Amino acid sequence: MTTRGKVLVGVGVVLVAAAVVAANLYYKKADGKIVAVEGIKKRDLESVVSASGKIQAKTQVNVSADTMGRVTELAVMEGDIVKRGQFLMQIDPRNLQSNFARGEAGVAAAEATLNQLRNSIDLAKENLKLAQDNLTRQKNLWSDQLTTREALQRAESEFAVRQREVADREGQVRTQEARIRQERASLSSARYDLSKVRIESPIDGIVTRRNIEQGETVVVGTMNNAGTVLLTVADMSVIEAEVEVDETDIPYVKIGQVAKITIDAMPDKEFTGKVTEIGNSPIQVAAAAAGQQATNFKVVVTIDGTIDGVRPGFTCTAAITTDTRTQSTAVPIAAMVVREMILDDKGEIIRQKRDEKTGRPATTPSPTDDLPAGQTRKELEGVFLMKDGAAVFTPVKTGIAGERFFEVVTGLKEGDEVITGPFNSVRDLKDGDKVRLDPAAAKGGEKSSGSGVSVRVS
Amino acid sequence: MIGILTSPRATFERIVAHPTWVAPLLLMVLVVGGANFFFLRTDVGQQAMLEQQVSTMESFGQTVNDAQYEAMKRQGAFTPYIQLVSILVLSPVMLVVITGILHGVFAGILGGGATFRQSLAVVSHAGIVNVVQALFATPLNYARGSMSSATNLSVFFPFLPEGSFLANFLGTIDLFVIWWMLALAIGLSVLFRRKTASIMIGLSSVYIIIALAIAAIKAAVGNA
Repeated sequence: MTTRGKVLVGVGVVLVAAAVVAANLYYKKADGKIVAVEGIKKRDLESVVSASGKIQAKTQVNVSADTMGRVTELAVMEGDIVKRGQFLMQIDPRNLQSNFARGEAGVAAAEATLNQLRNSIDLAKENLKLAQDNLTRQKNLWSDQLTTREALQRAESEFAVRQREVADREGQVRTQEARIRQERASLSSARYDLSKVRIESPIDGIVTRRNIEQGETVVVGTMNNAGTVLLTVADMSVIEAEVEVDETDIPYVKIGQVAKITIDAMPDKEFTGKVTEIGNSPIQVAAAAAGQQATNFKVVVTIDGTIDGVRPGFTCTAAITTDTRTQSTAVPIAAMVVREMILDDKGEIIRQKRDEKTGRPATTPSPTDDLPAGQTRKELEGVFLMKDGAAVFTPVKTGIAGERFFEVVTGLKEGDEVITGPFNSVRDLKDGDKVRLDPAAAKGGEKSSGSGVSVRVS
Repeated sequence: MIGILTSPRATFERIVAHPTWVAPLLLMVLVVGGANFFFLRTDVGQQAMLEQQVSTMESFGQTVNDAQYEAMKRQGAFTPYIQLVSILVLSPVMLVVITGILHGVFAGILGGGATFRQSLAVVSHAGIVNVVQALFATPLNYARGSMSSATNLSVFFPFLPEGSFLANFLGTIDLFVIWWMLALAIGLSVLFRRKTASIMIGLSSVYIIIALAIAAIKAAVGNA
């Protein structure tokens, strides 16, 4: 290469190097972290407790059998709408019908016996009357000394025997009457048992579960034996969402609070309801992390109106509005941070002086350094305000928490600009750090700041 | 070694005639490693490294949580030493690997007549460009407070949307890498008696394909 060529290449390299340096320095990152800020506004806030659970009917009846036997007829399927008293299924009645017939025969036999006994009483009474007349006649004859003592004594004995006979017969009638009552009770029991082979719907509703097939044998159901439930009928005219609320939220949930219900199986639809029941006994739920347990409480939300197509067991989420504020000063949740600050004896924050050039603290006290008398360290909850290109930590006392905003009780006023992001910047910000907005993004953000976001920089 | 920068062809002819590779490798390792080490020992360097790590993870679609950030921050104290050791260990390894590939292609596949030692000397001397890059870019990085490359093409296009395919592609194309490839192409052309332009086109093609792949992956996972 000629000397001229080398010079040209050298000049080219220098020019490129200069261009690189110039580009880097011209577009050099300005001092301070790029942040996004949001203007403090008054907003309507809703404090919401969210919990998930299942949809269920307010009234739900598990139908079990009161008698054992084979199912001979099954009239419903899952999902069928049934009315109170509607026939559901028939259990084989033959055995119970035999019992009933036996009972009827027993009653009839006992009544016949009773009639016989009553007839025998009449006969005994006739005999008694004859014996009495004979005794009277023998007594009269005896008074005139016209009969023998033996004949009088025989008449007296005959009268006594006939009296006992009448009494015996009357006793037998009473016994037989008791037996008839016993037979009738048995008959009534058999009739009742027979009536139980025909199972009818106890309520208006939907058959939500059918655990039996025609031909299978049912056993007598008990409350604690889920396996004996034949059918479940749910009255879907009143629907509830039974959700599990975390123990930390449960103190804020009250009877009558309004809730919005979303059902996973019915996206894009939202239902309303009211809290109607709050459990007092905790439900222990195994959390994802091993060895941890979450403690929840049952809360029942009764949904307004009916929902077509809803089924018990659908997964749902209830957003219970536990508190509201109208036009309250609100700060974005993303802006809230906790910082350890040094306070003086009056509780005021002692701001650290910063190096003008680097923007870093002139002296950085270590967390373990002893502080001068009267000064204390304290963790404070607050936000960073953007003031004169710096992030200024401002303690804030918050009230209720909405979905995106906290209510500000003290510490901020409408129009203050709080730093809300990006997350990395907010996480590391310290009081007095230099911050800046990206001019290009700021311009775009201001144009579209209809929702209270004054500037959005990423 | 200065000749690599001022009159590369003549210098490479002398290197091919008397191949040595240790001195330029040592120089490169010491300068690049030292520059990195001292930069990362500064507060600016530490913060720049942290931002670079977060930015890289986020560009590949990952989210850095508080615990990871704190862990990276703690690790920052050891980063200068880790980087220094990495450069000391990996530079010779990379030198041998790159030489092996190039020697395999030009001597093995294309049938060029050269020894591995000569190839090693050419690749090692081409690395002098990295020394210049370290000396040029490190002060610039300190001034910018950034670990991102100060010499890639994206510095001329700051208006491109961050994370876009084009921005990622231009961010992968570095002027010093182009210079290093040019030096390498001249050295290989001297060594294997081939045209510099065709070698440069080959090396550039590989570089562009790699850059396109990286840009595509970043754009894809970054927007996912």
